[in-house]
Amino acid sequence: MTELSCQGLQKAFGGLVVTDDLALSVESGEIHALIGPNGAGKTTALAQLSGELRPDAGTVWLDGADITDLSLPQRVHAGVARSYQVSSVFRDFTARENVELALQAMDRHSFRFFRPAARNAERVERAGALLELVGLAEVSIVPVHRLSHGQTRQLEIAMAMASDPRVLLLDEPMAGMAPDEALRLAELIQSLAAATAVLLVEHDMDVVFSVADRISVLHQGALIASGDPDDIRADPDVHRLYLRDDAEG
Amino acid sequence: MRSPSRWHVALTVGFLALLSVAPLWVDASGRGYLVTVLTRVVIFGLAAMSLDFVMGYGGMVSLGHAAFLGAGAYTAGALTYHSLDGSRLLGIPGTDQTLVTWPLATVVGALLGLVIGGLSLRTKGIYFIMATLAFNQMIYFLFNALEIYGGDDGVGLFAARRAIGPLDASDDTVFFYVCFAVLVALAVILNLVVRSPFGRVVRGCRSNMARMAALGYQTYRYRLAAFALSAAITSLAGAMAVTESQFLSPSFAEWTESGELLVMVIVGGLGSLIGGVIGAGALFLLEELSIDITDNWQFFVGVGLLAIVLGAPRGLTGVLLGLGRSHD
Amino acid sequence: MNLFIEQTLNGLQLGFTLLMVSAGLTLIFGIMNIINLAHGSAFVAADVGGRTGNYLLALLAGIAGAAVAGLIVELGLIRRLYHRDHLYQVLATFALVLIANQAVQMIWGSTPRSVAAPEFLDRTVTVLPGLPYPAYRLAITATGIAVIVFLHLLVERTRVGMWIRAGRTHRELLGAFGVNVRLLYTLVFAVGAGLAGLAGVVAAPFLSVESGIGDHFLILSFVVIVVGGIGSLKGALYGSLMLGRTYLPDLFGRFVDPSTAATAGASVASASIYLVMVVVLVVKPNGLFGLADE
Repeated sequence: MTELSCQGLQKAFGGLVVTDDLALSVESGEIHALIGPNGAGKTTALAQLSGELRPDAGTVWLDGADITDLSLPQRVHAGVARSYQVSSVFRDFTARENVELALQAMDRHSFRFFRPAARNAERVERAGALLELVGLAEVSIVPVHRLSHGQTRQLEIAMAMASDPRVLLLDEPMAGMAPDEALRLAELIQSLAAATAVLLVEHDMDVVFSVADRISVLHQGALIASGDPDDIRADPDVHRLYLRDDAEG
Repeated sequence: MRSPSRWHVALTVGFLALLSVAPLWVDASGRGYLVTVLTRVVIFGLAAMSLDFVMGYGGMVSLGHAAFLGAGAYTAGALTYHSLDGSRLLGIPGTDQTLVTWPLATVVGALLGLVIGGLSLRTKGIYFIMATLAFNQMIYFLFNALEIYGGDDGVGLFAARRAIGPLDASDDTVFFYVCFAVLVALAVILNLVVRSPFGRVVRGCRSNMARMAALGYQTYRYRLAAFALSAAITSLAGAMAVTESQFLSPSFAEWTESGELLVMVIVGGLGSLIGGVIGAGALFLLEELSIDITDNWQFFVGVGLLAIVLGAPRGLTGVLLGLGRSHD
Repeated sequence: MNLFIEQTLNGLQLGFTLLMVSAGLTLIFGIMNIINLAHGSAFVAADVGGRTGNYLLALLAGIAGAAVAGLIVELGLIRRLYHRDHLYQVLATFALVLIANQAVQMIWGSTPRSVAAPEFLDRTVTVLPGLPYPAYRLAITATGIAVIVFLHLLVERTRVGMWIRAGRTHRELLGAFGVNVRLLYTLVFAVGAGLAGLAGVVAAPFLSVESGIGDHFLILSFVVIVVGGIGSLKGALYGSLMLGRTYLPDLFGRFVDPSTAATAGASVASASIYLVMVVVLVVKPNGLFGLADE
């Protein structure tokens, strides 16, 4: 079943076309990786799916419903969650408070003025469970600025999972991670696929080819290939793109 | 988020306790006239505390809070004025009953806060500061235009009672304790609010607004609500101030008054709530001490402020809490 | 009809005075992302300098004095605040306002004074048959035009201007291009202060000079910048002229003819410029010519 999809997505900054007639879909239970050289427009595409950027043209659907006009917070409530390239958790809060804040966002509203937030037992418990899920149970009361880089990436995912999303958009979750940390995170992402569909933007090709069920390749804003990992590995266009990219870089 | 430390709670309770006995002390030392100064510390401290709420917890640097001070002063002052000469204001009779004028001023402040905040919060950063300042100036000019209340000269309300229910609080010490009770009540409420789910969202917006939106929060609503709450409390303080001084004039809404509230917050310590009251105390104390020596005490406020900005950015509370920590 | 033309000329003159204050300010905001409440105080300093007798000498002294004051403030204070929260910039520069205003009172007292226009401009010219107009005011408009042309050329045609434009959008890249960012900031700050000084001297003959007068212009400049958009000279130009025309009755009511000062009409008129700001905030929160996002 298709969870999230888009058709005819178009975006330009000034004269520069960054998304060019893009069509994508993410099916339930799958990990769909979006790859491409630097500047291919992966993050911009993700931002249009999450609602941070409005496309110039095109439509985004979630579970068959048109969500193109929904704002970022509205899409979160509809079931699209995302993590960020730059770890953007709240650095003064503890790990658990961060997750609690993410959980609290799912309440209909937060106009509750008097009861201390820390005394919501049910939420504290669910936050604990999410931290457990990403492997951060031991550091739940540590302020985030004292966590390691890898741990903050794990926390990002716990926060994104707090909304119990239908689709999780992950923007380079492995960036800056040590190989063994990246490996653990890859396992975590794979384990999430049971609960939510995943669209993964990632540079680490080893990770992409080991976890993805399907891979789409973006070049200059347009899709040039899409298929399972073996297809992509064999695709001559993709080869040329990456070889040329290497030659330039 | 830093959880409230024991020292912070102790500082809040300690300072309020000190303030509660201060009138007895000035009375005993034969300087009873200082009670009115203490009352102003309480009133302006309340305004500074509510400014600290939007600034220290909500991250919204408002340079326009004097507009709300003025709004409260003009709401309460106008009602009192009309009760004195028996005329009507928009068809309703005036009153000097603070149980009516103060709550009404609070409501007016909240509404004005929704309007000014609603527009200013469409901007951010430097724009927000400039927008709030500009709105402040607009309100100031509107008050200047109110010829009925003396235009830019203002009008005295000296014949008015300070009626609080059946109680006539014309006695300065009684009036101090009325204001002090309001301060304590709101200090308790604001301290609850910053720890509530609402308060957490507001603090989260200060820390990282884009991320809050990505978590699913409609950040604008929460920030606006926080701004309006602060405006309401500042407006209440304005009403209290005009009841205290019994003189209504646009100077309540002068932009430098906004600046001074900001100074109180920073001198006291940003993001501590009680800091606003401590800052107000420090400022009025400095004024009182230096007034015999020099007319130009603002010059020295300026110099002292520079020293704090460059040397002790966490203000007096920061210094006091720092001392506390070192004994921990 | 004649009255309308006269009012429009007055509006132009006020608008261009405002432009001299806000153009420098908008460049400072745009490139340095720092808020400076003491900008109006440069206005005062120059204003005070304008009372020395020889007008042209005062003009030079005013500009130079304000620019040097700007230089000292940037080197001694502002430079330490670039990486601090806007709140601390507000406070530090507010402290400067308190100090400057009080210093003016301490040195020159609090009585407002008036300054005479230079003799060779102290006459009227007939701009249209039956419409004599003070030459001095026309000269202010001319000065304002000269300033905006100068700034336009500076920003659009010179290397320094290129840095200023680049700094508006990509502040962090300036250093990478080998630009001496500190020097550039100091320079922009001093030029901005010098322009405020210029505005102070030229405005002195038709305003009464007193402590705090600069603040009034400062806040108007903020409105100009909110309306026009941060960092945009074009925005400052249109904003100033728009406000100059709208704001007119108040300024002349307040300062030229004290007997009619603070009449209800004048105050309402001065509040009306903020309505312009409200409309702009609703329609274009980043100002008419502002960048889409900071």
